[in-house]
Amino acid sequence: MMRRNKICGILNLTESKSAIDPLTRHRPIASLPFCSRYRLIDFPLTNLTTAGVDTIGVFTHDNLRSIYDHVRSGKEWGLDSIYGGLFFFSDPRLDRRANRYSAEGDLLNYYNNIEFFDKSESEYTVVMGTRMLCAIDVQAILRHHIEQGAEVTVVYKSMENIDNDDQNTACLTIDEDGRVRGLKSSVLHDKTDHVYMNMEIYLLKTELLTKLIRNGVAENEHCNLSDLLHQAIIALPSNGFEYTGYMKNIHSVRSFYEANMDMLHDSNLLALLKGSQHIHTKVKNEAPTFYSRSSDVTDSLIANGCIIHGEVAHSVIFRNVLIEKKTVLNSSVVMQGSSIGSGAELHYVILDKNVRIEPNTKLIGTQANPIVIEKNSVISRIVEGDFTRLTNIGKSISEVDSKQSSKDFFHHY
Amino acid sequence: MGKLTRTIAKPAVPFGGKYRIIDFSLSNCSNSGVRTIGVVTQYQPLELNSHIGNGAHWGLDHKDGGVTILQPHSSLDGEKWFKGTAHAIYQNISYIDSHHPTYLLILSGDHIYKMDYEHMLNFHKCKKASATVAVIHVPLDEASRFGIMNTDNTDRIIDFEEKPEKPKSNLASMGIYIFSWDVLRRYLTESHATGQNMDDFGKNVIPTFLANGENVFAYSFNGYWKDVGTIESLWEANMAFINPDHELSIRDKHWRIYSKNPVAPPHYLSKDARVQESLIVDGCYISGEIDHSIISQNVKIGTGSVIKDSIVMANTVIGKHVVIDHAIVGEHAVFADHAQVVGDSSIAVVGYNEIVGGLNDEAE
Repeated sequence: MMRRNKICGILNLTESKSAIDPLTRHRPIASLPFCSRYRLIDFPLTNLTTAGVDTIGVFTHDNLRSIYDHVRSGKEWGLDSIYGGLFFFSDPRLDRRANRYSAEGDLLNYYNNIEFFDKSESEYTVVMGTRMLCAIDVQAILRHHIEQGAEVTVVYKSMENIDNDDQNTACLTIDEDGRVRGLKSSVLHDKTDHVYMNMEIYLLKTELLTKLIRNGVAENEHCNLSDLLHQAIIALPSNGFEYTGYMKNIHSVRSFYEANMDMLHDSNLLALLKGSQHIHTKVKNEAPTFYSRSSDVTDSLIANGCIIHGEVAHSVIFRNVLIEKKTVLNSSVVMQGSSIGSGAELHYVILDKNVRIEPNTKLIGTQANPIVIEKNSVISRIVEGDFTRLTNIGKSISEVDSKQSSKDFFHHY
Repeated sequence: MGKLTRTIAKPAVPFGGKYRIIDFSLSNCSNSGVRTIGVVTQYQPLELNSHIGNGAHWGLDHKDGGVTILQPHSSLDGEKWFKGTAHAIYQNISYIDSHHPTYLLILSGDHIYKMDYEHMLNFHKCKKASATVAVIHVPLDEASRFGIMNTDNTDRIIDFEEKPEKPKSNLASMGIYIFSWDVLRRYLTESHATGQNMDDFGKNVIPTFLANGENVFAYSFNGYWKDVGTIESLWEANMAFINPDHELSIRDKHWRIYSKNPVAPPHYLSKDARVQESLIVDGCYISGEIDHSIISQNVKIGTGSVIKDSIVMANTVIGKHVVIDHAIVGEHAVFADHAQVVGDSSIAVVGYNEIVGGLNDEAE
């Protein structure tokens, strides 16, 4: 029998990211570092490849460099075989400075590359993004799809206490038979409502998807694929597939922070990283992490390659982080290559990559509003909220700043 | 090394939490631009084979060349079991010839060091040598444990003594040789024809080269070099390796030591954990007290357990209130709650997959 590529995967990276600024100022959501050593794109890539999907198209308006740098040939996910592989489709209309959900729509990008679907010779296509952090069994969606005889299957998560400030998230109305009956934005819900959150994961026949794309472009070429699929699940007989595992909608700095903190609970970590599938990521050669005599580390996740002399509690530390003596780091996320000078005190802080915190600096955020320090910044001596000198500070710190009394700080771009 | 090498080859023995001994030689090759490597092995090769794979982890998966595992095999000429280091080369002449080398670099897989073999090759070329032996200065009172080279003022070797009682110099052979392949090839094939014993480089080949007036030179290496051939030396080398200022500078990005890196989540230190002066690797769950120890990948350590001056290899599970002191614990070992393994001047060793303690033990 001829080898048939049953499911083709689409990574739709046209995702709203303005609320995660400044972490996403120079990278798409897909490249956000997560849980000490991963990037968000590792999750859909693992979801797809674990299910035997070996042809994956990555469609984006955004800067591909950071994604390409991480994924390369897709070797870590077994995508460098003679079959299929990873295909990148970047929209030439990409405006790097705009850095926002494109008003142009991404549908044309799909239409211009529709040959990809034909060449994949796949019977089904599964579409997913990177902001709905999950570890999902795609083969289970396919089995459900076939058994239920739906045209489109959409994945949802049943939940309470949603973040109803995210206008890009939709909730489904599902009837007793599991059919999709309606869709409305999460902002129209009360926080306490029990909702079926649309995880923006769709499975449908490839033939149907290409037909939808062609028709969609004919009607309005400035449309988004996600809008098109929203219309499809209402117009066509569509079923919901309930995902029961760990899920987090990464739509804001706070949700990104919470997702990292969630991983400090063993049950979440195991469910997401070592549950029904093991998440793969780009492997780096780093030395083991060294803990000195003066270190005191508890309730924390730490990657390889770090040197730790200070006190760390309830934090997530990425690769190659240096924490000097007499520092206190609490409830924070420190990305790779950052260093924290001696005597510094950091609570509820997110340090992006390669940040340098000078000795005796003090940064105190809150759980609801963690302070974000942009990539490659150097921060020194902020004592009791008195910002004496700041460089390259992102938006979040100015927010914190605005709530406090008079400070002066300088932007150096 | 007894327990640790019962089922795996010595070069595959873990070192420093996330390396295997052979990673140092392979990374040195990769960093030195050596692109064609044959790994000669005949004892317990499974672990070594799966570790090395196609060499991609060391950047050695080249279009031509790369890493080839050379194992003894039967042929029409009879069994090709390797009788010694040089004999193994003789048995693999066709592999070596197929790559048309001018020079052959011989390494042993059980030393911990960083070395640029290109420097040594330049030295070999410059001296127009037939063979070059890398040497290191050892303390004179330890010299009788090594193969000792005596050289003239131009570094030419004039005398070689294997483990001499009264060493004339302190230049010890590191077991690293560069040969001009045409010369070595001639000696190996001719000796085979005439029945002369040419099985071992140190015992046979180098003395024969000297006796025949070949130019054999000693290349002096200055740097960290450690033979980890015994349990004590393995333990000592690991304990010294914990120090971030160790001479090997493992964090130096200009000469990285690569290894096969399985994907595992970051390690987690629980609220009860206390880790001091130790190295910890991805995938661990630590709830106990770790003092001056190396904990490898995916090790689980329960609350109340104390690990001191020890090496715990990958995938070991340690229950609660376990005491491990002055010990080397092999991969996949299991410790029941309250188990104790305490060594002293002689290091305690727990073998691979060994189960320590259990329901029948009195847990008090």
